[in-house]
Amino acid sequence: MMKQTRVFWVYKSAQEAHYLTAQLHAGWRVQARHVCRYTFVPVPAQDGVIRLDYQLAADLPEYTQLMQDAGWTLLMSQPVLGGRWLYWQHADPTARIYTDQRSHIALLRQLRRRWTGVGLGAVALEFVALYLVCLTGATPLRTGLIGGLIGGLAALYGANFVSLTRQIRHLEREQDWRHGNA
Amino acid sequence: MSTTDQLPMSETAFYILLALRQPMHGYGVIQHIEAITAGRLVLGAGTMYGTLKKMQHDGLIDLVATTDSRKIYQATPAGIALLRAERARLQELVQNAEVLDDEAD
Repeated sequence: MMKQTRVFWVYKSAQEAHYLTAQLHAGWRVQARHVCRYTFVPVPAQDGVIRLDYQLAADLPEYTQLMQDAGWTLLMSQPVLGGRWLYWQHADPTARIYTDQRSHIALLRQLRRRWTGVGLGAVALEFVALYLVCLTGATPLRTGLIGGLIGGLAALYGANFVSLTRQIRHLEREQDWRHGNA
Repeated sequence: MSTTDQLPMSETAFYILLALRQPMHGYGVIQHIEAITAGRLVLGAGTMYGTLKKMQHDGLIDLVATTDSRKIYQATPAGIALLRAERARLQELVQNAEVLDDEAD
């Protein structure tokens, strides 16, 4: 068994998939992930690909059956925001879960909507906390900590929003060009 | 949403709706499209799933049966009407492109 620590935010999910695929090719298949800590089990070095997807919990049985019919093996899944991050493996290294821009754009929009909603909620809560701290006696340390947390959260979720938006617009431009709408 | 509002169809949507003239489950649609396009078009399962959900939401297909965990869909009259409209659009496009045969190489 091998454990590695890596940080991949939502907009880096393609890079996370690429990292896990590289490990698979080297003979390590991901078994679990706890926050940023990945656990791998040894397997024969193999071709194939790992891809990530996000689906709402209500849709999972039908979606999972379709994926398995299409040759995908579910390695693990993580519950998050009313849905699940799903880690899929396919023996064909060229296999893709999404083969057209429209459905890929829909996925990215859903990710952007959910994670931005969470980010806004978290920042709002921090402002409430800051207000309460000010009411009960603010000290430079307390306000600085909360202010830093607000800034950090805003930067993180802001970067997520910007990056996902960039990916969506790139796919939309490609789609428009192909349909002659440029 | 009127039929013309939904034109032009993407190639993916067109072939999925065409396949669902007969009742079929999602993977069956993937296999059918791969066969009739001689392997040129192999749809991803995520694309298939998302497009089925959207078409069902838009009233272009209906859920007609469920076996095991597989749901079987079929095109509705609205879906068939959209296919006919897209076929007419493509026929006009191909007809206009026939001028290429008249031009010297």
